[in-house]
Amino acid sequence: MSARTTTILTILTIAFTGFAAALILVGTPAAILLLALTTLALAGWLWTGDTKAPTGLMAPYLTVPPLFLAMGSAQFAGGWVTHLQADYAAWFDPDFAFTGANWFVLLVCIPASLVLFGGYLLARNQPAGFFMAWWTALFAVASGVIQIAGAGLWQAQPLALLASGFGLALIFAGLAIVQRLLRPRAASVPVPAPFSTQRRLLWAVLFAAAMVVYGATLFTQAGPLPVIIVVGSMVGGMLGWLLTTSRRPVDPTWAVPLLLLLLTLFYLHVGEETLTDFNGMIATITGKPWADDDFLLLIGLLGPIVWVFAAWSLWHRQALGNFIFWFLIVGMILGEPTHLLIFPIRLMAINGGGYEYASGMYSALFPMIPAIVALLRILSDHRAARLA
Amino acid sequence: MKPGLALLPLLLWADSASAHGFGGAGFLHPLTGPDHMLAMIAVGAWSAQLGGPALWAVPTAFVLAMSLGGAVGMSGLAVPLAEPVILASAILLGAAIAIDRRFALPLAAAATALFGFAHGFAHGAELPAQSDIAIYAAGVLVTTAGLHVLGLAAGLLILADPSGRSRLRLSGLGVIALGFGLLVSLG
Repeated sequence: MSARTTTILTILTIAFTGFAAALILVGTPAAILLLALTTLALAGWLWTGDTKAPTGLMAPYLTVPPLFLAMGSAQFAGGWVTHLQADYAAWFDPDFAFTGANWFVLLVCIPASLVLFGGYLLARNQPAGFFMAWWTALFAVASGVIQIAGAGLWQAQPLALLASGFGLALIFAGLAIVQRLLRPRAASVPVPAPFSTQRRLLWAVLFAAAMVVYGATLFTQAGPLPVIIVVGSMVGGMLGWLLTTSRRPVDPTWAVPLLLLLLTLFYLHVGEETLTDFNGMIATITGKPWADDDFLLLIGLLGPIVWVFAAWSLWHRQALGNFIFWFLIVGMILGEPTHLLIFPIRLMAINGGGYEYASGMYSALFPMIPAIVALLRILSDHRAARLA
Repeated sequence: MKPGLALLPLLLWADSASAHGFGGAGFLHPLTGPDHMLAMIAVGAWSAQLGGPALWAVPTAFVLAMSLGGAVGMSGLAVPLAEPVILASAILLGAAIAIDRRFALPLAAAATALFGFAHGFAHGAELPAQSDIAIYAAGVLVTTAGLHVLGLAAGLLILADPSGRSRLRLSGLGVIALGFGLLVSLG
């Protein structure tokens, strides 16, 4: 059986399963929209086939995840979920719970993870990747249109305007992807000259300042434990970056697919954390309350904008992308095992009883796989470059 | 990497875009007021543009005056026009970056000190009840200094590019636009 037939069968299977799930969990309009997007994307892919130049598609494709999350952040901060409940409840299943967690997992986390995974397939030149390029383009346009059309009755005007601005950018990004699919062209990213010591130092200062500011925010909201894990990973990542890829950026053709796979698995993990009250667990451990909305905005939306933007930046061989790549590698390897080691043991000490589920436990280790592969590749490339 | 630097203003919406709607510890106060955050990053970027001793003197003037303003704010004394000065600070700093003139160092330091005093007054006046003053003040200063350094390093990196000078001036226009946006939304 050809790869194309296998891909079509896989797409149809996932599409019908997704339709049924959306029908039950969200409502009929969302399910119909999902089916329509998938049908159009399938038609587009069957019409154009697998373009021979996926590199030209990557840059516009990689703008979609950060724009989508930026729009979601502005929506959430401006009370979009309440707005949906007040003005668009009829579009949802009567049993749909209008909570931040529900909205985030079903309407942000899962679609964003799909787009990230589609980017992985596209960067690997897989047939399903070209289908996902169509799907992502149409999804970006639909998301932008829904935001702009749906914001009419929304009262939080400055944030509605901001979200609509991101919506408009999403529409342009989607159209740019369609244009590249219809007129494929290869695009090579120029290899920059090695960074000077002064420039590397300036980047290091900028990253250190950002760590202080981000760490301060996290400390205020969640106490010292998450700061030790997140900022500790940032410091480790910065050391790794300074010692290896700060002078010569990694080759994006192997690094971007791995980063996108890592981000897919990590974002699904954030979804598990959101559904299982991660902030409540941390509050139990640290004794410091951490509000649901603060957690969702910082960990589920604002932070990930920067993490997913790193894929675009890494594709362009920039210092920011290379630093965040390192940070995520260290974070996944050192930070995520805490879900199976530190958190359950701390909970045992506090609550008594045996070793039990800690929020995020089931999906915590999976992002380590691409992280370890990427770490080994960076070290091997660095060693080879030094010997050359 | 300049597009990456453009993401920084996203943090402005770390809170629900209210100017000073924060009731937590001092660390977060400069971050959750978009007007504060914009001005602090702009101070760093302007210092980078001025270069020379302004690199350290301008942010230091801001931080020192902010400490003084914070003490005045905590004492309960009234300072008229503090809030308009805060809102104007982002717009004026953006304008200074956009016009890219060689201001004399004392003038630049004095202007930022005035802005710093107003920002510090707001931080001090909005000290949450039952807060530890020392921790709150340390938090405000650490976060402010962090934002200055961030703006400074970003400014120097932008200037390191051949077309960096124009790009930095363009970002000054962005600061002005955001400042006016805040003025309207808070208005």
